[in-house]
Amino acid sequence: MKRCSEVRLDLPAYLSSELDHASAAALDEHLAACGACLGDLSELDLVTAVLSHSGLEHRPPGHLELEVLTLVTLEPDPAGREGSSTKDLSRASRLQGRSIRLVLAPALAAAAVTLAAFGMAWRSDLSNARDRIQAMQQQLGPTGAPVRAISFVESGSTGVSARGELVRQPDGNHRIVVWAKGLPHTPAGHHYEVWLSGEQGWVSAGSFQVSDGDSMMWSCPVGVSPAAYPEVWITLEPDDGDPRRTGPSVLRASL
Amino acid sequence: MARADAENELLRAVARGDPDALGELYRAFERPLYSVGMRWLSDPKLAEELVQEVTFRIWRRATTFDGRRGAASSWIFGIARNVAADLARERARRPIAVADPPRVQETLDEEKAWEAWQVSLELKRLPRQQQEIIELAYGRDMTQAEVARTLGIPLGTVKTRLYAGLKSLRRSLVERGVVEESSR
Ligand SMILES: [Zn+2]
Repeated sequence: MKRCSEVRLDLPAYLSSELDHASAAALDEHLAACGACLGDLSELDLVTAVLSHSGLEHRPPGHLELEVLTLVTLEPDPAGREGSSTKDLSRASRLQGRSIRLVLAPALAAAAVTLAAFGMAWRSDLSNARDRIQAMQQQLGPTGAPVRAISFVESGSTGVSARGELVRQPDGNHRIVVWAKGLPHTPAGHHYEVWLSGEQGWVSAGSFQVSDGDSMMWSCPVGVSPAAYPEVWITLEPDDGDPRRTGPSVLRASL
Repeated sequence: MARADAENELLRAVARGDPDALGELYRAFERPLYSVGMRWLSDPKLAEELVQEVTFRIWRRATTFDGRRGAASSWIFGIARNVAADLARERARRPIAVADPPRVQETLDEEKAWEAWQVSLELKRLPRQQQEIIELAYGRDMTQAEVARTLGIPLGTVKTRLYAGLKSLRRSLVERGVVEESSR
């Protein structure tokens, strides 16, 4: 007969019916004669029952930590929270019917311009938040003020989500910052293009590629008045040299 | 309890504006937050929003945390419940056409969620090797043989680590009152 210490290692497999017939029968026999192992079994039974209802199957995606910590800790005034400029933005966003906002701090909005270069760090797992902040702050240019939150709606059911900000730069021009998750990698021979549209037609605001990772942050200056071009679209365009909008739209938003 | 004290201390450091403390707190709570987010909202994107918004609120409101009125983990759980309620209301208003909208829970099942919350917190505190085996076996429904193959370790090692992990998980869940103390 096996010793109790050996028997016990088989109890989890016994509970999940993984033992073969002969091993299960031998274990039954031991349990019938050994109160201690039987007690152990009932303890393990309780724990595994709790485990199976605890949502262990839900795992946060790997990119979440870096995204959340970067965004949160880049708030301009982490210690003086209530007085920070993000509070007003948060309130403005709520007035627009979004209870959850992506606060792109002014500093981050400016940093987004250089995020293409920062892409490596964005994806790699930098565990030290302070290093990360310093690395981003080194790349900051003059900051701008977010004037409006942009809520994108996907044009289809591709599982893409995106938010953004319209930022007014110190020079009075505007800039659009887009933060998207789940954008498919750009297919060969294509690019994503950002457009503004209004009564006067369509204006391209720039293009970008998604090559690895499924999160991207992107920013471009806007050469026209956002008031005259109140719609923002992101489309997938072929690299065919045709400057007109011909590809399918992926995301759209109203300013 | 030493662990609860450590969490309270982390939260106090967050209140002083220490981003490293926020990172450490985030890593302890990301999984439980995401998991209750999925439980309450049944939608991966909303669960991510919940993690993000709760982290924002922790960062902003850590100064209002009072360790004498309860543990950090209860305080954070309370924030998560409020955010989930906001998100559920928000979703009801969202004008996005979804072919097959996820089922919205009318009320948030707090008791079961609290239990699951504590399980995932305690799981995070197990040695990494035990944690990963428990996750594969009970989170992904793998057999022990599949776990052994996945991790490239002998089946006997899986058995030893799984047993040890389940036993210490039980001990901490008894401490937290999630499972009953056995009568023997
Ligand atoms: Zn025995």
